[in-house]
Amino acid sequence: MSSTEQGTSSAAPAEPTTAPESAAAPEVPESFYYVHGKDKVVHKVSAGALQHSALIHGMISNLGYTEEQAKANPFPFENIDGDILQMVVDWCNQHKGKPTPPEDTNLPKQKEKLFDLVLAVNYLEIKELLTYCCKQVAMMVKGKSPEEIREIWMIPTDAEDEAAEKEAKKRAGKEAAGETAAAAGDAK
Amino acid sequence: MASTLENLSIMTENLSMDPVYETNWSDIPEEIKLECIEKMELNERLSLRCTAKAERSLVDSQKMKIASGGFQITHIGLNFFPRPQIFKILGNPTEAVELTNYVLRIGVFGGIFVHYRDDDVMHFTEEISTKYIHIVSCKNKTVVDVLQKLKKGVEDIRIKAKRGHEYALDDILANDHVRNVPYWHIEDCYQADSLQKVAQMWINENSKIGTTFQVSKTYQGPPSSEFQRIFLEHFNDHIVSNTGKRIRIRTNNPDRHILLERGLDYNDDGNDEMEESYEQFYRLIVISAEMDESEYDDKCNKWISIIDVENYYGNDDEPNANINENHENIENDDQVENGERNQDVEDDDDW
Repeated sequence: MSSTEQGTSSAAPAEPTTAPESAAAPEVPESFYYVHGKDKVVHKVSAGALQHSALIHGMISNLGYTEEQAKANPFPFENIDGDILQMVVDWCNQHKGKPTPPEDTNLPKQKEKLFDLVLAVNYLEIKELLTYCCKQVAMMVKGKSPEEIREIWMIPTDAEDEAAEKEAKKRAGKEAAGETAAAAGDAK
Repeated sequence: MASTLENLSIMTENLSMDPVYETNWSDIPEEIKLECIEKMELNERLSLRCTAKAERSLVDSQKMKIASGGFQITHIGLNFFPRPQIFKILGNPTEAVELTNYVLRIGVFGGIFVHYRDDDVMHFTEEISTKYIHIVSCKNKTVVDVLQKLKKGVEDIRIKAKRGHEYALDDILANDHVRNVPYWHIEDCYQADSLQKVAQMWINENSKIGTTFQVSKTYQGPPSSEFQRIFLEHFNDHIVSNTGKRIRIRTNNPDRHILLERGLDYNDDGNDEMEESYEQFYRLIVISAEMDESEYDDKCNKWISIIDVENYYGNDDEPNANINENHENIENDDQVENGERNQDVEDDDDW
């Protein structure tokens, strides 16, 4: 680092402190980790890119894996669809070491994809991407009426909700009765 | 990234023929739903809350930052700076009450303007979160109701009493926010005892230095001399100094004084009757007991313009036509120190 970058406040020119190039510390090679989703497709991601995910960053911070160990032990995210994990990995790579822009227009417009991405990003604790996703979700219903929103997001009406609740109670009651009868049969 | 995601979108669209993905709004955790709602505009929030009971309670629990809100007779205007402002036309009183209270419930306002509205829509059930409130030409009940609904943190209360509404000053002064607010004023004030009552309240509350109250009176209000006479009579034994322009009184706190300043002087060749009917402005401010008279703020246009923004400018280098150019002549000030009143001052025609 030069003396200027060090922020010397004196008006007099500061003595250069830059070490000769030959003596500079060698760059530490970037470490990589491996992740896979439900489809078992393994993605190689740099530790720098994974810093976006608080969950993964917390997992790898004290691992000290060698390249071979990392390759042999990919992080399994069985609850995340392969293409969704691909999107997440791509986003992390794209924004590695960069300040995140105020908008991200490259998010999926399709409802189910976006909701899957929201769930994955929430699970992986990627705060910035989650903010973009939530904005995108909000945009989906811009200018829409209650009826249209209900249709787009498949929100059940109160009546449907009540009916479903009644049905669930009835089912639970039947199951409980069945279990009691079975237990009584076993006792005999 | 863009092309990758575009490809994925295309792939997704192709796959959409075969519904593999069924994730929906109802699968999203509540805290994420709330973050999505936070990013919605008011119209979308209003629509979402009409879809189902569960969504309604979720939407209603999420606050919304609103730069300023105006509650008028016919509409509600909300300014979401830097985003554009929106207007909601009020169809009927029921809708007006419902929408007003909904907006108040979710809104965290920078400022609120409550204008004169019909009594039947002046039904505030929600607490109001704002730093600034301007109550314009409302009836006494509305003023008191609105003040009671304020949450902690209000810094500026402005009451415009036009249309001749005489407010129950004691009810207003009983309000905690009024007692503690750094700045407040009553425009077109009909209560000649307001200056005395506010000063007494500050003495009782040991109010902070800088706390300010202003009043203006128009030709319809009580004569200017009444405001001054009542103040002087009440604080007769508290006087530190009295000039034709300013009265300074002691408080119970030896570190603090209260200064009353008059805004305007008129050149009417001693025509007191005329002068009594002119508009006038007063400022009451808690000052340090150490404050020297040379430190007095001579820029009266600046503080008058806060209470009468239509007719006065904040720039004292450009005096308004109706203000005497010598309005801040303090060279002739007579002073009373240590509570001993100067007879010359007492006989001052201005006071």
